Amino acid sequence: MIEIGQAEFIGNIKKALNRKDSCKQTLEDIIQTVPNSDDLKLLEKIKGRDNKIHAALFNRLAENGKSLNMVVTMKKDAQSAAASIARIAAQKNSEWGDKKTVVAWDHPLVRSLELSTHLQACNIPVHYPDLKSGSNQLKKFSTQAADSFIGITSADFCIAQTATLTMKTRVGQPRCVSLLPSIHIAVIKPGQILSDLKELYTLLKWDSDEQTEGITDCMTFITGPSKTADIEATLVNGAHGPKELYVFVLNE
Amino acid sequence: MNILNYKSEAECAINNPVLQKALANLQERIGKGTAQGYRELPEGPELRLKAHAIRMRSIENLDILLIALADGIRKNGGHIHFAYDGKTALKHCLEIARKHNVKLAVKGKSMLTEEIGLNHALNDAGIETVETDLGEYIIQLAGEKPSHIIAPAIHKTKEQIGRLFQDKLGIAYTDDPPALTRAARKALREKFLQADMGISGCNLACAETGHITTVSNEGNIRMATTLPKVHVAFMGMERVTADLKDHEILFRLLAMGAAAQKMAGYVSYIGGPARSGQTDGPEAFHLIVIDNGRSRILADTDFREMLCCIRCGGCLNVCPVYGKIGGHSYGYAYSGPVGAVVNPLLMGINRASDLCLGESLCGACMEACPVNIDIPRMLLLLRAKLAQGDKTWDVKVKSRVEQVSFAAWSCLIQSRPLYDLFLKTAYHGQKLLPRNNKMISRLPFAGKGWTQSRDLQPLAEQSFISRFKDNFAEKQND
Ligand code: SF4
Repeated sequence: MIEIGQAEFIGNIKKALNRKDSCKQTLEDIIQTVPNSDDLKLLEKIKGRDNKIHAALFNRLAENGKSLNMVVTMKKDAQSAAASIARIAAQKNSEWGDKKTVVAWDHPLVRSLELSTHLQACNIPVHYPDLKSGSNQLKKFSTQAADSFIGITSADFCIAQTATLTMKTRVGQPRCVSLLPSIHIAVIKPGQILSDLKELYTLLKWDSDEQTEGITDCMTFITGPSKTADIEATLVNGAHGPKELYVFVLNE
Repeated sequence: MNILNYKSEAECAINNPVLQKALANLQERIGKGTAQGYRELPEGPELRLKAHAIRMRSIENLDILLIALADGIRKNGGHIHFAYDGKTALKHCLEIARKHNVKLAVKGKSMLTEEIGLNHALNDAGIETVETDLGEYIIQLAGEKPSHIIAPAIHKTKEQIGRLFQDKLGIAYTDDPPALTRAARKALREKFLQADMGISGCNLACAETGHITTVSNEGNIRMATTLPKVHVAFMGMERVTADLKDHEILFRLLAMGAAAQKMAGYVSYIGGPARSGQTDGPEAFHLIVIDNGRSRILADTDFREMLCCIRCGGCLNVCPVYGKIGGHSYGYAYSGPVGAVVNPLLMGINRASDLCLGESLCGACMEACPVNIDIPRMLLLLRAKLAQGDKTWDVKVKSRVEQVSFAAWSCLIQSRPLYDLFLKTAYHGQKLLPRNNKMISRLPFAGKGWTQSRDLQPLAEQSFISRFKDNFAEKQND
């Protein structure tokens, strides 16, 4: 066992690279630190999209989602999205707890669905992370998520090219909602659909709001429901994460 | 790391019809799917060259990137440890486990932890360690070793897995893959919810933002890094890239190389513990960066390119040798073409000499590689070192007999009269050798291996040159 600190560890690498001691380069010297004209043009392009282009992007997203067993549908408003969620909740069985429960993000778009009202009819409670409460209460939410059969989130973006949802971790928007329940439903607006990953990374890197927020302690990309092909290469959905994934695009 | 006998393991694999079928199926589906996927990329297969350049640039600035990554992780509230060798990495991990009073650890798939023997160390310290990738879980229950980087249980049939689960999980026998997956899902969920420590590898880190990334299709790594109170990530020091936007190309190609997908099921950027007010995410985040022989590879510009590897397993899915002998024959954490280069470089070229000698140099691996690594070039170089010996890599000449024979051969073919004499003697000498259908069926001494599974065309009475002269002379005279 050879115990060395960071300086010596990096020193070894410097030696291997034949790097002179006089070299004072830092990260800023080797990465792009200002957007070039292509980056700016792409940012413009994303911002300047109209309904027609969003509709085309939606179609591409829905098409690409299909081959991943991911259901992407347009909903005319929050009401009809909530009604669809209620239908799914009524039809599907609970996987983990004996009782059907739903967990959801504390997010304006998700709140606008008024899920508690819609799910009251079938007697299914909806839990939101309680932001005002102390840490004990917060931990309780994870347990609620583990017992739930549906998790409702929004997302930051959804990439048409690969059918990928992206989400940062924020207070009120826990990671477990898209992970522990058997069914994950994400609700987004058409303007959140991007064409490809290049657009996403361009935004993450150069958009001023994105820059200020950073990529947070955990940013996750989700492409399709959880899957495995580890037993005789047979594809099975629902290895550890959700078995089903729905994306509802609210066209209002 | 145990060293198995390459040749006998390979023979075993070739005689195992179940494995042969599974390997053929894997290569047919994923190997071909990947090639097709590259062709369908909007940028075409050439995108791999760009990826190569990105990775190479990272490797050549590794010192700068690692410092920036360390600063970023610390700024995000995480801890970073540098381990020169595997043992030190294990020590760091055990210390963290002790500090947090860890009893149960859940693991995402990581070849690096296999390389340093983490599971053993944790078990010895009394910490129950559960592999959670379905394939790895099956292997762990069976007490075996992974045989593929991405599909570790490729060598097992559903019937075998059914009996294994019946025995170890106490469920009724079934050989239905969805039912078996559900059984594992249920058993492992318990573990995820109880575990105090989550362990993951790291696919690519980002120096600019101070994050590591993890990739899975099953979601097990998200579970292992979201639920337990401590997350320990292991990263080979070469896995860091400079710029966030480098990842766009790399992740698309990684998914294509690994599973012929446009994008992996889950990719997570993790840059520290959960912030206050969050309901989940670990309280502590530790990253252990490991050298374990990599700086030696970095120092040799001939092999530096190998550090571009992102361990997608793509080269396994096209390799004609891996496709026959399977992963266990390679005897180390890494199998297939990548293993045939990496294992000798990490463990000693002489020790793992069979691996680089066994590959076929056909070049399929390079075309399948998302970062276009010239594996055949390096295989050839390793062979040259084995043939001639090498000081910097402490390589001893593999076979003196071979070295002397080739020296003699070189003398022989440089002198026409001597060579003719040799041919004549050999022509008469070969009459003593056993024949099969006019072919020589067994060579003596060092030639024995050559005729083990094939016959040799005997020497003709008259050499081509002399026949040519005779005929040509005749024609000229006409
Ligand atoms: S050598 Fe290339 S194809 Fe093989 S595992 Fe590494 S990155 Fe993948």
